[in-house]
Order: sequence, then structure tokens, then C-alpha cells
Amino acid sequence: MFALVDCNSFYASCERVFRPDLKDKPVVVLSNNDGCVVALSKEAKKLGIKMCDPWYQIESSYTKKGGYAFSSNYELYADISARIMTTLERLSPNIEIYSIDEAFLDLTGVNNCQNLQDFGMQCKETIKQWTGMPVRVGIAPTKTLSKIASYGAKYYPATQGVVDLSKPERQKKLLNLVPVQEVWGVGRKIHKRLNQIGIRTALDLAMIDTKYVRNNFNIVLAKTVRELRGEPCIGLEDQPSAKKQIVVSRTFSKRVDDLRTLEEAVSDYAARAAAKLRRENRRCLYVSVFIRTNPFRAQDRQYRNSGTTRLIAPTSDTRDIIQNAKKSLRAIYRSGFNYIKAGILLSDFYDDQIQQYDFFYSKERTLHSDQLMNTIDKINKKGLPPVYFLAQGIKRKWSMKREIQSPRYTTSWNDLPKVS
Amino acid sequence: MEFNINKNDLVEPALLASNVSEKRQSIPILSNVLISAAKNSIKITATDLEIEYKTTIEGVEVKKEGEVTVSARKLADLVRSIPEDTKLNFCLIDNQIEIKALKFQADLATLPASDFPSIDSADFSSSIKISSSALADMIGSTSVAMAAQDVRYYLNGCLLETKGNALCVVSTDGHRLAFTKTSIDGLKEDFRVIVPRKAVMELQKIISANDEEITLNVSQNQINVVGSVFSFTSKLIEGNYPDYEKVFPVGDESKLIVDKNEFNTALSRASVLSNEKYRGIRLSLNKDLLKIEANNPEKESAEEEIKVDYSGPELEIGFNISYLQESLTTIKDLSAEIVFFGQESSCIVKNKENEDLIHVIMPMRL
Repeated sequence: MFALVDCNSFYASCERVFRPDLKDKPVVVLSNNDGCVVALSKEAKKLGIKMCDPWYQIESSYTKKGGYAFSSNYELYADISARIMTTLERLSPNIEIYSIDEAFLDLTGVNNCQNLQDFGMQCKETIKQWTGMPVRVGIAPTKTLSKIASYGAKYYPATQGVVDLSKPERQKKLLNLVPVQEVWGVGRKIHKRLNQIGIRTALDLAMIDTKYVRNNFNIVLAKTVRELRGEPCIGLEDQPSAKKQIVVSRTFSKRVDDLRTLEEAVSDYAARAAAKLRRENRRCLYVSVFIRTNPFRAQDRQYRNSGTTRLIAPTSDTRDIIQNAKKSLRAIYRSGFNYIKAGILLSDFYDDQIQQYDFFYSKERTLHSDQLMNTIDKINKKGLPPVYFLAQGIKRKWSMKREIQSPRYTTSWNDLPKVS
Repeated sequence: MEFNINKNDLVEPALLASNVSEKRQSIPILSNVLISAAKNSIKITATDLEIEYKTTIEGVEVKKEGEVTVSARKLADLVRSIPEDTKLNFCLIDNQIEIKALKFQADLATLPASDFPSIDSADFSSSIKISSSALADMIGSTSVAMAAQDVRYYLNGCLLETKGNALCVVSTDGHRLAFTKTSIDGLKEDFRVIVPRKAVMELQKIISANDEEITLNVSQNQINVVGSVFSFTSKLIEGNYPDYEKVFPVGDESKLIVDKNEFNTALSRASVLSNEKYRGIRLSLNKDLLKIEANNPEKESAEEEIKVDYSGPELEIGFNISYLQESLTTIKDLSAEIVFFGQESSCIVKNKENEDLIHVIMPMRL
């Protein structure tokens, strides 16, 4: 038996945790550079705001109607997410963190000693009390059905945010109400093809012959069909699967046309990516850089390109990564363009505990590099003024615009909420 | 142009030429071979602008002289699929070449011979003679350690150098190094050149075809190898090859003598459960017992013990299985001798039958 715990309008709810005055008020969260709406509360939805609405178009009318908006504050969201996951780990020994705002719980054994509906309520209330975040809980014998249960909890207020689908008759009833495109694992393309053969609801999908699905679609969808029937095919992944690549990319606050500024931005992203890589205890062999102009500015000449450098040996040393990122950048940079975005991608990862020694690349260098990087990471973790490489720039005028960001309530001493 | 030729005479040159030709088709004509028919022979030429292979096939019934270029791959695939000893008729009609064999007929597109490029000839300052089988052996036993697509471009090839009266061949990818030498009577030449990877691999195939005396001509930026029916030219990698002699480990030796096949098969078994990415394996040596251990991220493991002849202190050391196995394949003797210099140091895989061939392998931290 599984439970899916899913946060309601996650980013918007995070903004409300330390702003109780925003309860029942419209709240939206904006993308990087305050470009467009990426999360919204149900009150904002009622005002007619939609996901991806450009902020400059809705700003004046939305604020006039009493709506609140925030620049994205990922540090706050990540920290609140971590608090929720820690709380969940207390409630169930086996959890799979599926995304920043969702987790699957393995309920094996729970149903022997507790009513599942009650367990769901307890989950919801504990998280609300301990973290201030509203969540909904879907309970079912398979992960796919628990997603369906969570859908039910979201759209039917009478459920009070908890749906238990352990009984087959309840499964059938809800499956019949859920459009097939809402089923976990059914993407846009498959949805179109399913529609062509008359499959409209989740129940329709649960009824098709799995052999037919395997031959005409794929094995993954066949698994989904079985899961909808209550046969567990997808287990809990308690170990988050190792990342295959790390990407750090940002849109600039203003257009950039000179190589020096681009180098500064790319070096900064490289340093962030390298720190992420070390947090995962990995080293990478390839460093790629990409740059592009703004395709929405028709008056500008357009250019986009990417370049990759292979390193001599896998590394997680910020210096190596910055150096090679700059090398890749210089190879693809063309003058006379207004660049709006750049990014860095690290790939082909190696475990930092396993190392193939090289005749011409000394062990001592790796050892010193590890010590230096460890020290930098330790200092930066303490929340003191950060240590960074000069290549990352000092003023960073290109860096993202976040004009209406909320304080980092939980991760910065200076941003602690004050009681007056 | 028209000529008749026996399939058996053409198949090998066509294959070798096809390997040399450029497969990525950045310039279309580079994926073609040039066929020139004159008197009673035909000449086949292939190049990718870095290397060039020319060969002459004698005893061909040339009905009409001429030259043209045709797809190297298609020519090789066609000729290979024709039954042995079949007479093939090649005839250039308009811009197509017609190939007839028994009841089979094919028409291939051509490009004009005048557009076919050639590598400018160089001023060869050194020249040595060596048996083709000796050179093929030297390359065959060392090329495995060559780097492929390394940032250190000078490692993506083989070092050929003279030392005293010996010709040395060295290759390394930084993780392992293979070295061999052979003495050549009266050798006075003095050169140190890096031959690119593709040239090394193709040259090996070309010179393995015939056992004969061949000539190596070396200039500052080219190497040219000439046999009785072929001429092979390659540009050289410009760069400083690392000082490989510094790589040979020194210190207290611990010698392991092990049955080559037994060791190799044990490694193969263990490799099934080693980490696919790192291919790491742990060797533990204690008295006359060698323990081989492998494990992977799925928490699976394999272990095997084999009786060996070992003189040295207890030792535990990690290696890439492929490096060990690939060095074992160059050993012709039934037993392999591996010399260790401690846990953090490289080991030497020796060849009893040929003391001039050694492989040095760097360990892994597991």
C-alpha cells in the first residue's frame, strides 16, 4: 500500500508560511527575472490568472485587485521541502522523495494497526502543524492509483484532502471520473493516440488488454494499466537515482553582448555547478556551455550555440571547471549579438571515491584540490560571506532580477522574521 | 576505362582502401577510392587527407586505360560478396562504372579522378628497413595502450623512435603504457615521431598482409611506409611525447607468476560483477594465493582464489580489468609475470618470451 503526499500550490503556500496575513489572498510566484507566473494559489486562479502568464501583462490589474506576487525564492522552497520530507520520514520508515513537493510513502504494515483514512488525516495534520504547509494525501495499493487518489483529494473538497482508494469499488468510481491524460505516465503523445482509439477516462485505460498495449504502445504503458487495476508494478525508489548531469543556467537581467561579461556569468554558473557536483560526491569528465539570444526580440539577430570540453581526468575542482567552461565559451562566442541566457552542463559522472591513477596527472594534485574545495565548501556552508573565484565577478550586474523576493526566513540569520 | 580482374586479387586492397577512406563524408570524394588502370595493372588510392594508401595490382587485363573514383565502401562490400575466383569486369560508361560478375551486374556512381586529392610528398630525411612482420608485431602488442580522443592529443597515437641501434614503439593513454623495441643491424637513423591512431591501426592491417622487407621513411611531419605493392603515408602528430621512461616504476619488486589463461578466465568471470563504468577489480596477494574480488553498485560481488607463485609482502591493489586482460593478450607464453612495487605504484606485466615488450599499468583507488 502506498500513500502519495503532495503539497497544495507548493511555492505559493511556502510564501504564506511566514505571512499568515496572506491566508485566503491571491498569491502568485514568478519565474526567474520575474518573467511569468510559475505558481499560483486558488484565489489567484479565481482572478483569472493562469500559469505562464507574462508578469508585465498582468502586473497592474492583478495588484489593483489585491493580489500578491513574489519572485521565486528557491532557497526557502528547498528548505521547507526538506522539513516536510523529514516529517514524513518520522511517519513512515520508507519514503521516496519524488519531487520538491511530492513523496511516496510505503504503508506496508500500517493498515494492520491503523485505519488508512485516519493515517492520511494524521499525515496531513502533522505536516500542517509542524511546517505550516497544506498537503493532500492519496492512498492506494499502487503508486499510479495513489496519484489518482491525490487527484481526487485535490478536486473534491468533501474529501478534506485525503482519499483512501484501498477498496476496488472506490477505485473504479474515481477512475471513471478522471480524464485519461491525468494518469501518471500518460504524456501528450500517448494521450492523443489513446483518444483516437476511444480511451477517454482512466477507467477506460484500466480495462484495455495489456498485451494490446504492449504491442501497440510500450511496456511502460502496460505497467500503468496493471497499476490502475491495483497490481503493483512500480516499487518505491528509496535511493534517489544518481544524477546523470548537472545544469546551471540563468536568464540575464539585461542583454549582454561582450565576452567578458559572458565569461563572468558562465564562470559563476560553473562554480555553482561544481559545488553541486561535490555535494553529490562526484566528478565529471565533460563541461559544456551554451549561450543564446532572445528569440522573442524579433529586431535582434539570433544566435545560439553550445560547446563541450573533455577533461583529462574526472574532476570536481571549481578551477578546472571554470577554466574549461571559459575555453568552451570562447570557442562558441560571436560578437555583435545580444545574449539573454547562458548555462553550463556537467556530464559523465564518476564516483569521487573511485579513481584511476594517471602517469602524467599527479595524485598529489587531486589530493590538494580535494582539500581546497572541501575548505571552500565548508566556509560557504556556514552562511558567512561566501568565498568565490574572481572569475565569477564582483558586481555581477548581469545577475538575475528578483525584485519582489521574500526573505529567506529559514536559511539566513539576517532574514529571521522579527516579532514586534 | 575497362579491365578484367580476379575477385581474389581485388578483395584485400579494396577492403584496406575502404578502411583508409573517410567515412564521415565531410568532403564527398574522400569516401571514394581512386582506380587507375594502365598497361596491365591497376592502382588503387584512398585518403582522408591525414593518411594515404596506394597499392598496385599487377596482372590485370586492362582493355582500356583510364581513371575514376568510386565509393570505397560499396566497392569493398560488393567485391567481398562475389564468389571466390570470379572474374570481374569493370567498365566506365558515361559517368557510371559498371561491374559485371557471372550473372551479377551493378552500376555505381563516380566522381572525376581529377578532383581526387593527394597528400603533398615530404622530404624524407631518415629511412630504415625492417621486416613487415616484426613491425606488425611491435604495433600489435603496443597499440592497445594508445589513447583515443584524449585532450592530450599527443597521446592519441604511437611513438616511434630510434634509440641506439633499436627501433622503439611506445603507446600510452596515461593509465597504462606499452613499450617494445627491436634491434636493427646498422641502424644509424635518429628520429622520434608520433604516428596518429588511425594510421597506426590501418598500417598494422596493411603490413600484416605480406611478410616482406619494408622501408620506413620519416620526415619532420610525415611517415611513409613502402612495401613491394603498396605505399602508405601519414601525417604526424606535432607535439612532445611525454618522457615515458619516467613512468617505469622502481623500488622493491614483488614478483607474481601466474598461469595466463587461468588468470584471464578468472578476470572474465569477476568482470561480470564489476562496476561497468570503472571496471575495477581488487587483487589481494598473500603467500602463494591470489584473490580476485569485484563488486558493483547493485551490491553484487564475485570472488575467486587462484594458486600462484608470489614472492613479496602481502599486497592489496586495484586495477581496471580491461587493462590487465589487454596486456595479457600480448603475452605468447603460457605464464605471465607481473611485478608489483607497492599498493600505490604501477605494476609491470612482462613477457618471458620477449623481454623487450612490457606493459606498465597504473592502479585504481577502489
